[in-house]
Amino acid sequence: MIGRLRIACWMLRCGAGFAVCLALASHASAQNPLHVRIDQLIESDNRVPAAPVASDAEFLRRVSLDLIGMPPSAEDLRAFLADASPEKRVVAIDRLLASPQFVRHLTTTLDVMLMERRRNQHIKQEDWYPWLYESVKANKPWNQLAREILAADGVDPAMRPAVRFYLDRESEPNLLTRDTGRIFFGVDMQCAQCHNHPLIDDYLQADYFGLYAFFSGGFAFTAPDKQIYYAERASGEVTFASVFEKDSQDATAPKLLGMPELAEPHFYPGDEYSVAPSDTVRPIPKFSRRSTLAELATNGSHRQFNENIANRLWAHLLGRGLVHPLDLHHPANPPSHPELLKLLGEEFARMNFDMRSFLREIALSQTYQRAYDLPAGLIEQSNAAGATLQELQTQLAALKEQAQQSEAACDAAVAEWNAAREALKPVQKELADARAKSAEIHKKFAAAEKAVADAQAQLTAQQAIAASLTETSAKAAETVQKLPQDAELAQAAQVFVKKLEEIKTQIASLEKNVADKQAALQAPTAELNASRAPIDEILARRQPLADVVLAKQQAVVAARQKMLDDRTAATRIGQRVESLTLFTSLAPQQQSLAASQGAIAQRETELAAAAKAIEDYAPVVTEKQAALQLADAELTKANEALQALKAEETRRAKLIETVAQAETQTRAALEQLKDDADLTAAADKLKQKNELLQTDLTEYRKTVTAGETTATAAAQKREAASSDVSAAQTEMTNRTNVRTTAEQAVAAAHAQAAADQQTLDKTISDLAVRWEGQFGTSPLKPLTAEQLAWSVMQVTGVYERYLNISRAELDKNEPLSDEARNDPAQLTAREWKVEQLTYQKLLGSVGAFVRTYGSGEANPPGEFFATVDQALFAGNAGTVNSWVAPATKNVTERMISEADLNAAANDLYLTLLNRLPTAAESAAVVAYLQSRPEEKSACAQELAWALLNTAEFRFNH
Amino acid sequence: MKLNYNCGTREHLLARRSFLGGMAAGAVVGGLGLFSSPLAAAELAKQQKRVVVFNMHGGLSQLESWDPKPGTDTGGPTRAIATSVPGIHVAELLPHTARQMHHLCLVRGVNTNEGDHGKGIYMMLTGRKQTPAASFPEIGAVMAKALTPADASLPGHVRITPGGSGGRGNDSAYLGPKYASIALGNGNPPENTNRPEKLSETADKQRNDFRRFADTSFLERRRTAMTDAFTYSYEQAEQLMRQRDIFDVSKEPESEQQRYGTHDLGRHCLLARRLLESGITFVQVSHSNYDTHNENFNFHLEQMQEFDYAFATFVSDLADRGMLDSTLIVVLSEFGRTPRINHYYGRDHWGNAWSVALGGCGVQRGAAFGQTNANGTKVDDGEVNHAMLFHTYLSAVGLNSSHNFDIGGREIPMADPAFGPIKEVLA
Repeated sequence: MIGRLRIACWMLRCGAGFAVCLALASHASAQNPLHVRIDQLIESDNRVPAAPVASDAEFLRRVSLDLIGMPPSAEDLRAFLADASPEKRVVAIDRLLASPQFVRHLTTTLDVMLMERRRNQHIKQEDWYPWLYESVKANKPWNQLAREILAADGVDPAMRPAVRFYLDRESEPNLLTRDTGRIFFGVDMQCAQCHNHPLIDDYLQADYFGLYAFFSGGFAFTAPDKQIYYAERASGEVTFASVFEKDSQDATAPKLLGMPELAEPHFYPGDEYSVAPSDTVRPIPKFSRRSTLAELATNGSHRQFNENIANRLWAHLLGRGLVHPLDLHHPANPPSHPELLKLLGEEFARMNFDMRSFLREIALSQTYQRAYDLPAGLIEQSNAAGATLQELQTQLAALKEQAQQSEAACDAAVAEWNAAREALKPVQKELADARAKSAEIHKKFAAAEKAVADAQAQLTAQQAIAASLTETSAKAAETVQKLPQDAELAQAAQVFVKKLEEIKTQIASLEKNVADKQAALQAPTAELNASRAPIDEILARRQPLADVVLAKQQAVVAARQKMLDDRTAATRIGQRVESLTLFTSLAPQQQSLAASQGAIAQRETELAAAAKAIEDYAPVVTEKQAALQLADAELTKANEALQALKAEETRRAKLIETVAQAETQTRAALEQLKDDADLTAAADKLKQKNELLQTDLTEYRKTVTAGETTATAAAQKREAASSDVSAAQTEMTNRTNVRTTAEQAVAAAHAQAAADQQTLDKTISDLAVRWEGQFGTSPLKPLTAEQLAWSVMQVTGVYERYLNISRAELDKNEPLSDEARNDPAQLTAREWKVEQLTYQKLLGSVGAFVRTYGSGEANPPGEFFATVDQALFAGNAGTVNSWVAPATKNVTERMISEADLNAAANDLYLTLLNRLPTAAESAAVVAYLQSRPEEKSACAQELAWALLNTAEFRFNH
Repeated sequence: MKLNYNCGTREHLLARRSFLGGMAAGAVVGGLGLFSSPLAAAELAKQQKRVVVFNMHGGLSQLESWDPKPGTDTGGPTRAIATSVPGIHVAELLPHTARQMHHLCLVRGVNTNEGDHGKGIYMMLTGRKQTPAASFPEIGAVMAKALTPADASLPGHVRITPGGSGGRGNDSAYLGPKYASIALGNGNPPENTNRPEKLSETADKQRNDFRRFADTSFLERRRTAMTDAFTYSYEQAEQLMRQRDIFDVSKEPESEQQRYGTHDLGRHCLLARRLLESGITFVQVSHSNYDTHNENFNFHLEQMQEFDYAFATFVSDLADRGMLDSTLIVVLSEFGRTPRINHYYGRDHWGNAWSVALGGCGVQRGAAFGQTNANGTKVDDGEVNHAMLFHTYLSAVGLNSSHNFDIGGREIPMADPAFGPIKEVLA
């Protein structure tokens, strides 16, 4: 631990001398176990915070799924959680690695990787899979397994399944080139078949055909007994031309990636085979390209081969490769950690390609054991990342410059190589001509040779007849001696003697024929030898030139590797820069968010103030309105009073008029009754009365005027009150407008905060994807079809049930002796057998999952997809629904018989999701079980079904 | 220096977006993926285009169908009859179809130069030659990907198979299983669309509610595109089950069923109509078997009789319902049959001069393009191949067939970039 800390400190101090620092670190830690070095390289290289270590429960589920292809049983999980030992993770890893299920899961993984679910053609899955299984069980080193596959011809019955890789790809050289490149070297060069890869600088047509040349002579040979083998014809250089460039004809000998062309031994024309081709015989060339491929790739020194498998085994546990996709290794898609990939390739080779030990080291690493959450304290660390970013940017510029230089160096090396090839060409031409001549002569020679062989065969046949006749004849003579009287016998003996004589004559003739034919062979033999002498001479002259070409090509290979490494370094640091840029944007984004959240409070305060101003002013408005109402009432009252006064005034005026009319009429009557006293008195009285009334009216009019004054005053007062109200209302409107504005400001602030939140979330989610790729946090890994099948069977108790059935079956059919029962080795062997039998019994069920969740035949595995037919299968097919039914102590049966519903909830979650439920989850389970108390079994099954169909179950995390 | 070229294999698309930035812009063929622009998708959604393919399994004889040669050494006993389009004649075995000719467009100059069943159908359904180390999606997967709205609850690629139990096909190559066909075995609804007997609708809903609830705590910790796709597949399944009747042809009125014929092909054609009406993008119907090495004429007499009536009814129904403007009809085979009649009165495999019939959306109506010679032994005029036909199908439904699919940052041409559509056939 202290050592690691010290190294980490070094790293910090080293600063810009990053590469140097790495070199020092790897030197300093050379003695550390691989898993420690993995963590060192990841940590020093990531320059971003890492997720914490996963909890025990998460760890055990993950490591079980990865190593044995299914989650732990609830029992195992409980024991693991209860174990206080600090070494318990190591112990768990070792226990899993030693189990039969580990071999099963790794075998299946390799099977899918190598054969991609191709259907049976020449070699059956039923033969291939057990061979692979036994290989994994014996912990056969990967390079040996690969060598057996790459060199396979199907002849040795014990190794015959290995030829499936070739035969079930129809022995088609282009398909084999693509798939060998992808599966064994991590490069998919398909597009380089017709031209240099249009989008990937490093995938060249010459590389494609260099690999192709190993397979160009390969073909499926059907022997007379109908058995099919992968056979090989001797073949020359492969020529190719880009479909886009006329006159681009080029040629290559077999060539492995990262190596110069193969210097094949020279054979004279006609001398290439130890068994020459014919319709009935499988040819065997003296030099097998495929054996050479198998040897060169797997001898431990081929970098791409080593790194490919290291990357694939890494992906087997981590869910994604250091290079990802696994078959697109090139500088524009660099490994996330090139130094680590290099280390893993080298170390795996040093471990003698021991897959089990290698997987163990990966599983022990902290990198593997991280949680799938994002690291805590991101924002704080984001602030600090700016300095690192600057440092990397400086580094990036230097690396780009370096990559350009090495590209120029590579171009120069290629030019030199091409010049050397040009110099070789005339000699090559001479050689080709001499060989063509010799080949012609060889035809004659072969005919003569065949004549000798034919003659010899005839002779041998006759000699055999002669031998058996001699024997028969002697026997017959013997019999005749014993039965001298028997004429028939004597006659028969005579026939034999005669026949023998005849045959002897024929033999003499045939012997002469042989001698003749042998003599006739002399001349062609001499001619053939003569034709070979110039070849030897040219070969001798060619050698120094070829040596130069080879040396130049080696220089090209080295320069190209340097260029690739430099480009890789530049791209990778470029990606780190992107990642860090994103990371450093986190703090400002968080600040913007905080600011916009702060603004919300501010705006809300303003809104509250505006609301208060409205509230405060409301009484004023009310008051003014009340005053107006009052003034209104007063005005009404004054007007009514005035009207009454005016009515009275009118009435009085009318009365005066009536009295005046009466006086006028009385005076008119007086004209006719002159001086009538009564009339005169009446008229005078009327006049008096009128004057009296006039006086009253005048007096009354003062009252009316007073009423008018009152009314006017009231009107004025109302007018004033009304304008008061208007003013108050205007003020209120103003204040309401202020509030509306404040409300809008609050909404805008919320929107801004939401937008900022979204930006931040997006950054975090992008960072999660990037860090997953950098192994700073554990990636979510969808279960493979097989993993899903076995996992569902495991948690529903189906697997356990079938283990028991198989065990009982074996105990019945092949009972163990008492001695065996006490022998741990035999007991272990029995458990392996139990697993085998269980596997056979459940294979059909796995098939249903593979059809539904697996990528189709001959499609690269690994792409995740979620389709509606999967959900329909999970929901409605009998498979899953019947497995959740209660049966022999499986989780649903236990839940039904458990009286304590909280305990039932715990059991459910621990069994299916390998963790305890949260309080809310527990409550929900209890509520579900109580919702239909009379249907507890149905409820338990529905709950189990629901958990089986969560993302939490579907993914390994 | 990189060239702007393409040989049309999936590996060409290896450029991932993330590192495209660092490369010459010219390296990306055709720019962004098909529906990077939501506008394009919206435009198509306005009138969603649909496609139906009739696969005349085994190899329909062009001489007994679209391109008869009566009275010649190769014509056999088959006579020609007039159609609803003056000047276009078809074999007498297609009397009802002849009356629908004004909706159809014959392509009579097909030369695929391929006489192998497997290779032939691969070319016709994918528009590419089969090569050992590359695989391409079938027309149904391409149409489903290009034409089906992202949130569609029904599958976009449906195959009505003569038999079998259903399931998902392996026919979508790099487009992924999402666009693989869902098979309707002998016209039955998709597999697993019935709730288990013992499970009530309410209980199913409850368990699904609990499933959603149970996922929340996990998804709060980590939610990714994969988890989204996974949870969405369950929503889709629920929607599909609600719409299960769409796949049940027995829900059609009895009179309709009688009209199409009660034999398998009749039921399948009616089902195809029902599916297209329900908005399913692509439906493939198979009619088996036309591989008539023996007794070519008798077999075609029987087979064509079934096909003619059901197909003609289908075409006229689509026309009546106004669906022809949005539905492309394709009648294809893996190849045609030899003009030469062998001594078993059969015709053998022949890909050098044969016919494909189109109709509906985006193609000329009542037309015949291309011509074979007098006795049908070679194409005289308007020679086309599988790749050009494939481009034509895409163009007919309004797609730019020179565009690329964008598969996880990999650019893949939708159709063989060495060819283009048959302009004369397009409306």
